[in-house]
Amino acid sequence: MKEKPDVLQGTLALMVLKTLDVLGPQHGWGIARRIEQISGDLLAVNQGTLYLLLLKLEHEGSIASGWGASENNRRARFYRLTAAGRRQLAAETWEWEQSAAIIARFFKVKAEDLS
Amino acid sequence: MRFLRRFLMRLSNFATGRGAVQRLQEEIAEHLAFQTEENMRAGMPPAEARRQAVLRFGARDVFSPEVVLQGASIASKDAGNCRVSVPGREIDSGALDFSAAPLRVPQNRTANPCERMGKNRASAASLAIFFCSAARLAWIFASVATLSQYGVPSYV
Repeated sequence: MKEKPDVLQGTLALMVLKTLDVLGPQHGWGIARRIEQISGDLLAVNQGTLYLLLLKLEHEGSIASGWGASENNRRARFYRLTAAGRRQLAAETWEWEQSAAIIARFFKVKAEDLS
Repeated sequence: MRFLRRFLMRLSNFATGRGAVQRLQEEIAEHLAFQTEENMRAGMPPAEARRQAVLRFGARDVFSPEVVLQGASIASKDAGNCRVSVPGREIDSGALDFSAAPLRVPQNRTANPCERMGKNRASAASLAIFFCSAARLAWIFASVATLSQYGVPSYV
């Protein structure tokens, strides 16, 4: 069986929140495409899972949604970040930066540093 | 505020008869149309563009009412399709359990989604009946008060 690396929970939620924060209101398909684009096409978002996550974030109050018209006049449900979502994003960003900084220290450490 | 927003959302869903599942299905249909359009712009014939859009979308069975309303584990439902995939390696679908977690039904609430929906509708109906009764009583009292000013017996 192929070895699967563990990924910390909540990564996709953070990507969604950050995408909405940077790019403003987006529909589901747009969010998926933007995440892939931002990751340099290294990530392929499973689109089915994304909609469940959007529903969950909306239930939590982090995002809000409403039907609207897309740039090519197609009906789409647009998601936008709420004030609570911005607070959640700020808190999660801080946590990720802290975690990354801690792991970075472990990567850099040498035996002589600890002697 | 959050309570009010949830209440209004539930009221809206009750009034329009639309649930989360139906909303997701509408969104999926729109999503597939977007993807089909993009595939066609990339040069695919319409039928192939649609087929590729559906394939790319992944597991559609995760949108069954049981999963959406009850929050059953996506990973156990279809682990192969529910993942963020990275070319050259795979990310464990456990990372996406997060997305289903808040949809889990708390212990103190009923686990049956249909039963829950029924209860929500019953409570909304009870609320509507209560308000109608209150309005009717207020109207009766107002009528009695008005009629008594003109000497009409109160039993009328």
